[in-house]
Amino acid sequence: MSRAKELSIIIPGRNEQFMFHTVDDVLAHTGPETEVIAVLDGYWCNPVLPDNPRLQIIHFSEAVGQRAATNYGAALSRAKYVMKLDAHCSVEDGFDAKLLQDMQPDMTMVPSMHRLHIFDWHCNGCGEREYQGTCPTECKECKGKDFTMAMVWQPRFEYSATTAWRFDKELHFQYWRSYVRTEKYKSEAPTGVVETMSCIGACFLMERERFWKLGGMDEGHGSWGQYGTELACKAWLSGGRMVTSLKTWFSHLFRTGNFGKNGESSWPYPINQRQIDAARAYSRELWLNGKWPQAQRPLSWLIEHFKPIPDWHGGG
Amino acid sequence: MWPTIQRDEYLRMADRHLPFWGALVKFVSANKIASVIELGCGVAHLSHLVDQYTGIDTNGEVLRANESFYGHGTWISSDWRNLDPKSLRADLFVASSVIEHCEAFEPLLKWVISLPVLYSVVTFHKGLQDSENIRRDKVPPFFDNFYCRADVERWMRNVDCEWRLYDLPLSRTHLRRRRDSVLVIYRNRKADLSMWLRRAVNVAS
Repeated sequence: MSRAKELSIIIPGRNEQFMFHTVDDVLAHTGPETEVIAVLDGYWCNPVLPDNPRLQIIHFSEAVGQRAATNYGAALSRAKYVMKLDAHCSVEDGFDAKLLQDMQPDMTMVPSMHRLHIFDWHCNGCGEREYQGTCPTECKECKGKDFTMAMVWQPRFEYSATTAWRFDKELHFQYWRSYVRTEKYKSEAPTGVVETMSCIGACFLMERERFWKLGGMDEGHGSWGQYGTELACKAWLSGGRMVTSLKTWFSHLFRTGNFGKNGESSWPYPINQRQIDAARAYSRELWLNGKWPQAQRPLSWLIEHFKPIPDWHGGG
Repeated sequence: MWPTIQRDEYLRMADRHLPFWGALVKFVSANKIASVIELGCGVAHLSHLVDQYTGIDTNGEVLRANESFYGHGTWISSDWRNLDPKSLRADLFVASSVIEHCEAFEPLLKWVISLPVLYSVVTFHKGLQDSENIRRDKVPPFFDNFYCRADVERWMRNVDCEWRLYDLPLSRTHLRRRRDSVLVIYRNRKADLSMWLRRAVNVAS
């Protein structure tokens, strides 16, 4: 039997326009011991994913949701480590090796994160370009209405990478940029690995055995929503840690700002406010009321560990 | 070769093994089989019969064609060696025209035995060979390997599962001249698959 790979990168996607580009990018920037498991949740990728011995493709005729798709990919993996990566991301060359060199069995690791500039809208009348988002209705310069998507696929290095995240008292995900100025962060940074209270959920890495020990992704939340909070609480309250690697990065497309300008949904994984609220309510019940059976630490321990936390300990 | 051939060619190959697929169709229908996993699924013969069908093939193009044709199912484009068998749960597993393309029979059978399924069916089309001195130059076209019956039986006796090996003429084109071998691994003996296989052969002949 062939030797199992070291790392399976699971990329779930639903109607994801950039699945092909993400898979292609990851295959190009990772080594022979890393495989990609693309989970096409209720759709086929266009363009068709390339033939590659390091690529497995799972297609569900009926969408199962991002959490279930991630679990299915992890269930089929035979690798020592599993990573989940959103289907609109790029990664640094050799990022798999850079992450694995610091991995410990009790870790959930995330790479530093940049924003990904995937495309511009190119006006076919005057050549003017507009930053990615919903297709413009009219060119600002020539008033033309004919646009082509021009691929850029570049991380926005002009902005510093995000390396710290948290959640607030409502367990809503938040960026935590001021955390990098704390003594705790500064003391850990030279090692290349720093603790983080939470993560964004777009990319995370852990041992496959640990992934299942922590229950995989809890489908009780629904398809997605509260991803980072679930990962963070499971990582910390199980007795383990969540860390950010400063040694490498991934970059992620945020469908905000210019996206959804005409009121259309900008999320390939459809989710409505009722589902978001349900995921949050489920999450609060689980973590604020101490309902997670595998917890070895209370949530108060985590809050103390990162004290002072904006919102929890004043400020914001 | 496999990743490039078209669905029509799979259909022609399936047609040659019609008695075999006919037997499985009847077995599935008569025994309330609700979920099937097919390795090297090609045209996915059994997908329309069950609610939960998983087709595995290295040919992504044929999987897309299958989904478009049947409109349901889980389709996995992968080499079986990359998949953790313990996560593939179903009532029935079928690997037809697969083992001939493996370097050896042991790894695939080991993988099949690890599957949490009630019935596993592995075919050796054109049969297992009686001689232990298999001549490599006698391997038929489109086959990568031939296996010796004594080797397979000896290996199966050392694994902890209930199994039967049947010799039946399951290929329509060789109905009277050549026998195929079918290995059935049971975790549930309530339904005897051999009865359906034998009936299918009798009908066809």
